[in-house]
Amino acid sequence: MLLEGFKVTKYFGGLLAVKDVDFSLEEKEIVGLVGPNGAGKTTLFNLISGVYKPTNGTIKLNGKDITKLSPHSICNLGITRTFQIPRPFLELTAIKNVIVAMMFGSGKSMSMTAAQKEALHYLEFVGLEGKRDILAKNLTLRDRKTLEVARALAANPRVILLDEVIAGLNPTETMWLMDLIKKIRDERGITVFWVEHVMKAVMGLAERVIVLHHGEKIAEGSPREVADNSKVVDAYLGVRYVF
Amino acid sequence: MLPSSFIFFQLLLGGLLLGGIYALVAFGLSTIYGVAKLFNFAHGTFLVMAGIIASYIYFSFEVNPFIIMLMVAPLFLVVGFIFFGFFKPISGRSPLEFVVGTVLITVGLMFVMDDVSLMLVGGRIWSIPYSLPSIPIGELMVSSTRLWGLIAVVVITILLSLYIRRSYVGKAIRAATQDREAAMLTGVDVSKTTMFAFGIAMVLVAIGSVLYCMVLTVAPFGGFPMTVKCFTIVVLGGIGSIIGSLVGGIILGTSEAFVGYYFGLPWSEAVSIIILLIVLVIRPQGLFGFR
Amino acid sequence: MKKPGATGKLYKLMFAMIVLIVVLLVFPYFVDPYIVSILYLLFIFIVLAQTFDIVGGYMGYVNLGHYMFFGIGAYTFSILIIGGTSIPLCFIAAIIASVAFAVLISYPIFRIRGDYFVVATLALVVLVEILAYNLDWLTRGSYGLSLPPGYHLFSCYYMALGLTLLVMITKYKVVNSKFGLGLISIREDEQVAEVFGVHTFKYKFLAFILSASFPGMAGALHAWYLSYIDPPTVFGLAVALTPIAMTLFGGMGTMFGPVVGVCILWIIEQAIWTQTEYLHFAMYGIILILVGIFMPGGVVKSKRVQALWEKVKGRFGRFAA
Repeated sequence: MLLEGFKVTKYFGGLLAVKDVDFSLEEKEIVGLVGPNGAGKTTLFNLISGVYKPTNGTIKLNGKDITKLSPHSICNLGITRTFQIPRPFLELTAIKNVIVAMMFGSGKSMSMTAAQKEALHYLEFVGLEGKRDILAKNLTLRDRKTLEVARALAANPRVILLDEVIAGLNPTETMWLMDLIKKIRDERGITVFWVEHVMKAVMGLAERVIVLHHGEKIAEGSPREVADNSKVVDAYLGVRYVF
Repeated sequence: MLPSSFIFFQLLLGGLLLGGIYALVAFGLSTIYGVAKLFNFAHGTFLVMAGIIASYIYFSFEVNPFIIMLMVAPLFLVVGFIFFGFFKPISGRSPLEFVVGTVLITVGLMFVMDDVSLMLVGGRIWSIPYSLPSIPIGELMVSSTRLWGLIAVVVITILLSLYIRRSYVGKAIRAATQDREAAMLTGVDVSKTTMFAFGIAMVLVAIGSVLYCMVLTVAPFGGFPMTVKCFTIVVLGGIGSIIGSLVGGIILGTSEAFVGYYFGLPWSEAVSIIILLIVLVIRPQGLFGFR
Repeated sequence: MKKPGATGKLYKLMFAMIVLIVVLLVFPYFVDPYIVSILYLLFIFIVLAQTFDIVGGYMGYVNLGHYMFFGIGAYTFSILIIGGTSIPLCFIAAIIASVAFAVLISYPIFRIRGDYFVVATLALVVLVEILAYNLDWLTRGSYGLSLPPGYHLFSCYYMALGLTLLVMITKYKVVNSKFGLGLISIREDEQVAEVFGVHTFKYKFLAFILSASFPGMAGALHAWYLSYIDPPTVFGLAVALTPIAMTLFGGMGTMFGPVVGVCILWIIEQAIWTQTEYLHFAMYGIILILVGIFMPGGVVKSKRVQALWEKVKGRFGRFAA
C-alpha cells in the first residue's frame, strides 16, 4: 500500500468539507476521484499534500504517518500535485518553474547547470520545450496547465495528485493528455490520483474510481461498478453512464 | 487630594471621547483598506491638515465648532475624490507593485503635506479651545465640552451606521469590501464606489479633526502617530466594522489614558503599537472583521 | 548569442568593475574630504538598500522597519564603546545584536503576511524609536549618546567601501543560487513554493537575519563616524524610509536597481539641498509620489527606461561587441 487515508475528516469552523474518507492507492495505480462540485475532492488533495491539516484521521505514505507533516516535507517524501487553476511562479520562466520543483522537491541535490539540463527533459516530456524561456505570466492557460504537470513531475514523486487537468481541452488535446498520464504511470512508475470532471477521460483510463459527495465517500470500485451504482447516478452522473 | 474615583471617571470620560473620535477617523481608514486594499499612511496627516484649517476658521471667524464641521466636511469630500485619483493609474498592477506604489504615494503625500503646511503656517500648534461651563453630575464637575463632543460622536456614529446599512453607496462599499469580484459581477461600479469610499473617509477625518482639536492639539508632522493609532484600531476592531472601530477606539483611547497617567506620557505612545503588533500576530482579523 | 562576444562582454564588464574599484580606493587622496564624506554616506545607503531588497524585492516581504537593524547596531556599538570596550569588539557586538534581534522577532513577524506585514514592520521601527527614547537609563533618551571624539573619515570610508563590496558580492551570490530561487518562489506564491519542497520558514528566517547583519555593521560604523547618535538619527521615520524609498525608486528585485536608486536620489537630494533651505521633504515627497504612480516597479524595470537603455546600447554597440 503506497498511499492510504483512514477516516480523514476536515471541518472549517462549522463547515464540513470532508468526513471519514478512507482511501488507499497501490503502486502504479491510476485512481480517479470524482464527484459533484463541492464534494471535497480538492480539499482532500489539500489534506494529502499538507496544505491543510485534517481535523481527524490519518494519512500514511509507505506506512509512514504524514498527517501532521508540513507541505515541503511531504513533497520530499514523494507526493506532488497540480492545481485546478494553475499557479505557476509568474515572474519565472517555464524552465525556472520546473527547476524550482527539481531543486527543492526532488530530494536530490544538484548544481544550477545540472538542473537546467534535467529540467529541459521534463519540459520535453510534456511538449513545452519550445517555451522554456517564456515567463509563466505570458503563457496561455493551456500551457500553464501543462507546466503544472511538468513541474509536478520534476519533483520526483512516487504519487502525483492531478486536479482537473483535462478540463477545457479539446478532444485531440484530451487524447494527448490521457496518453501522457498513461506514460507517467507506465514509463515512470508514478502512482496517479486523479480528480476529474470529464467522465470519458477518467472512466476510460482509471483502474479504480472513488466517488465523493458532500464530503463523504459514497462509492468505490472499477469504473463500470461505480457507473452502475445508483447512489452515484443520483448524486452525480444523472444518467447511467454508457461505456 | 482628588478622590481616585474622580480621576478614574475623568480618565474614563476622556478615554471614551478620544476613543470615539479615533474610532470615527479609523473607520475611514478601514473603509479605504476594505474597498481599495491599500493602507493610507497619510491618514493622520489629513487629520492634522483638516484640524489646522478648522482651527484657522475658528480663530479667524469665531464660528461655533459644530458649524465648522459642516464646513469642512464637504471640502474634504472633494479632497477624498482627488486623493482617490492618485491611485487610479496603479490599480491594475501586480500585488507587490501595488503595495509599493501605495506606500510611496501615501508616504510621499504625508511628506508633502507636512512640509508645505510647516512652511505656510509655521510650527505652532493648533487647537479649538471652545469651551462651555462645566456641569455638575453628582459630586463631580464634568467638562461639558467633552460631554457635547461625546454626544456628537454618538450622533455621527448612528448616522454613519444608518448610511452604511441603508444607502446604495453604503451597501456597495460593504459588498466591495467583502468580495470585490462578486460586487463587480452583480453590477456594482467598483471604481465609483471606491471613489465614494475615499470621500466618506475624508469626511470622517474632517469631522473627527474638529472634535480632536477641541480636546487636544495638532501640528505639522504630528500626523503619523495618529495614523499608527488608526491602524491599531482598524486591525483590532476588524476591517469594515463600525462596531469594531468603536470598540477598538475605546479600548485604545482608555488604555492610552490610563497608561499615560500611571506610567507617563512617553509610554502611552507605545500602547497603540504594542496592541497593533500583538493583534497582528495573534488574531489578524481583529474582533469583528469580515475576513 | 555568439559565444566569443559573450565572454568578451564579460571581460569588459569585469575590467570596468576593477577600474571602478581601484578608482574608489585611491579616490580619497585626491579629492576634497567633503566629497569623500558624500561617497561614504552613499555606501551606507547602498548597504541598507541592497539588504532591504533581498527580503523585499526577492522574497516579497517589504520590511519597512529594515532601518531598525541599523539603529540597533549603532546603539550597541555606542553603548559599548562608551563603556570602554575595544573598537573591534564593539563592531562585532553590533552585528550580533542586530542579528539577535532579527532572530527574536522572526517567528512572530513572519506569521504576519502581505499588507499587514508592511504595516507591522513599520510599527516595529517606530516602537524601537520610542524604546530608545524611553529606556533612557540605557540610551540616555533624547540626549543621545556622545562617543569618544575622533576624526575617522578615511577609516570609515574604506570600511564602508569594503562593506559595500561585500554586500554586492553576497547579493550576487544569493541572486544566482538555489537560495535566491527559493526566495523568488516564496515571493511569487508562498503556498505553492512550500508544496514543491521549499522550506519557507527556514528561508524567510535566513534571509531575514542575513539582511539584518550588514545594517548592524553599517549602523555601528555610522555611529563611529558621527561620534554622536540619538533616537531620531538612527530610528527616525524620515531617515528610516529613505533607503527603502531609494530601493523602490531604483527597482526592487534587481541586482543594481537599489544602487541606481540610491545614486540618482542622492544626486537629486544634494542638488535640492544647495538650492533651497525649505521644502526638502516636500520635494522628496513629490518624487516618491511620482515614482509610486508611474514607476512602482522602479527605474531599472520601467519600460520607458528599458527602451531608452536599448537605444543607448545601440549607439555604443560597437564598444560592447
